[in-house]
Amino acid sequence: MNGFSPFLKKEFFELYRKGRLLLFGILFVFFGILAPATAKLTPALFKMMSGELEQQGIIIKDITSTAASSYEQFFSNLSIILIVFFVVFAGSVTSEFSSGSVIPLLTKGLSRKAMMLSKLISALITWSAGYWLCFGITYGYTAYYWKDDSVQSVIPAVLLWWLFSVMVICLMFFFSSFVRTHVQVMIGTGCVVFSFKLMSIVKTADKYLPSALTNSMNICTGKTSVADIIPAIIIAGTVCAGAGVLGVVLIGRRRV
Amino acid sequence: MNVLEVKDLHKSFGSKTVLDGLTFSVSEGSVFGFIGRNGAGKTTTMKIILGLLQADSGEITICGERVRYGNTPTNKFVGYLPDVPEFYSYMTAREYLRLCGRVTGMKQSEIRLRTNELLELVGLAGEKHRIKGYSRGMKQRLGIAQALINRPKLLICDEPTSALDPLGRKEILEIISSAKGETSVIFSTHILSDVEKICDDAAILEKGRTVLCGTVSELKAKRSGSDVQIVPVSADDAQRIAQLLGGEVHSGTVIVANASQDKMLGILKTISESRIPVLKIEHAEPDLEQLFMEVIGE
Repeated sequence: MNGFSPFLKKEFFELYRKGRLLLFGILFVFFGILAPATAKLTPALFKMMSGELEQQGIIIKDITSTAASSYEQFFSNLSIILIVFFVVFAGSVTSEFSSGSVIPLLTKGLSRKAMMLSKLISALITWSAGYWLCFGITYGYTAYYWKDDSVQSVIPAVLLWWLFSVMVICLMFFFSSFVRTHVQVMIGTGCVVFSFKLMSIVKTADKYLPSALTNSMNICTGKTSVADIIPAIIIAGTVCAGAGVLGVVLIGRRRV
Repeated sequence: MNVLEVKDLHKSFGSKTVLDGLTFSVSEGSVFGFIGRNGAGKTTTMKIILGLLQADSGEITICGERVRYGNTPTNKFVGYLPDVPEFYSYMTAREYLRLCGRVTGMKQSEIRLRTNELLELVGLAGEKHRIKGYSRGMKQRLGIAQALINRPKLLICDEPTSALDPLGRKEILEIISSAKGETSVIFSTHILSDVEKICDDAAILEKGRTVLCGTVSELKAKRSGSDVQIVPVSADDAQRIAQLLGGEVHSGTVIVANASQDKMLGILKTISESRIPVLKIEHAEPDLEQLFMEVIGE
């Protein structure tokens, strides 16, 4: 795999120079703080508004927040960060070909496989580092502010959401290997993820669908056990591997 | 010895045949002009040589090694300058050349040395700005530097001067000429004066095959003669001269096409004997442009 290491370095250099590392750093830290902050401030906000609301006939009784409120906020914010990440990275491969910037390097011996893997790996590292940083911040604040037992197993839920996000990124690179524009990448990946969500309406299919990995609060609170969704985990893992391998094969056949 | 050999190359896109038995070779140390009109298949040929595109049939060898599509080890012998080179705009020229050096597997110390040499050669040594602020000519010069980073045996330039102003063209031609000492060059173009300026050999590509190939002087000699233009003092004499010499009248000027030196002497004799006053008689030196027009039938 000629040129893997220099191209991987170039990918991180690009993220740094274009300010994307800083952008995602700020975004992950912000959302890491936002989840416990929102959970902590919500009762106080309602208390402040209670007088006003009482005049309108809405009576607010004691609202308390728990660790579960903080994690619920955290998991709902993850989709937003993943969408931002997805939009920024969707053109990573296609723009190299549409602008022709990778052509001089391909003619210098950079293998297409190395190019594709460096792009995928740099995206996965950036996402994973940010994801776990975001979780670490939320986890720290939540453990500090709430000592209740509303959440039983947060780590498996976080791991499963991470697996789902890795699957989305792998799908994004799979589509990037053969379509022409970043919009087509977004449409292709979006359609696959949306079809999972759509199929999950059928209750019996739910445990087989990767979208089950994002039912995080059910896992946190013990309503769903990890064992119940093992088929979904296997399918998500298979999609990751399949998309990764096919992406590398298809990029070799892409017309330049 | 030939650095590049292209034999019986065929390539079609759907029902459109682009290359139909293309054959030519580039000898070591020469600058080879690859001439053809737009859409003649020059870029397709170059992409096949670089392994970026798959040929339907035919054989290409670079330094004796056969070119393979996709994963192309022969690219270690090649430097490539695309027609409109695109680089990573957030890098400086030095950073970009470092990346190119690393991709080709050069050592760190060698990259540093070669980068300094090449930036000096292409006139970008003092340039500290990022590539995004570069003019087209500067990008083309950086393109030559990146193509030469690994001291290639063959430099492939795809229409390097087509999009440049006269000054930019002159600079690029000078740089390519100076690179001639260390590499062979194949240089595709439709600007024939550029070929005459720097090329040793040339081939004319038409309808997917080489219709003429040889040294530039050989090609010029293939044309038996060039047009003679006669401007009479009185426009009324134009028709008479045209009848006497078998020429045509265009806006008061008589043109006798494809005239050899002997014919030129005959023209002078006829005009002198007929005692027709003329303002100007011009017999241009045969050039590639006229040959090209003849060959492509325009």
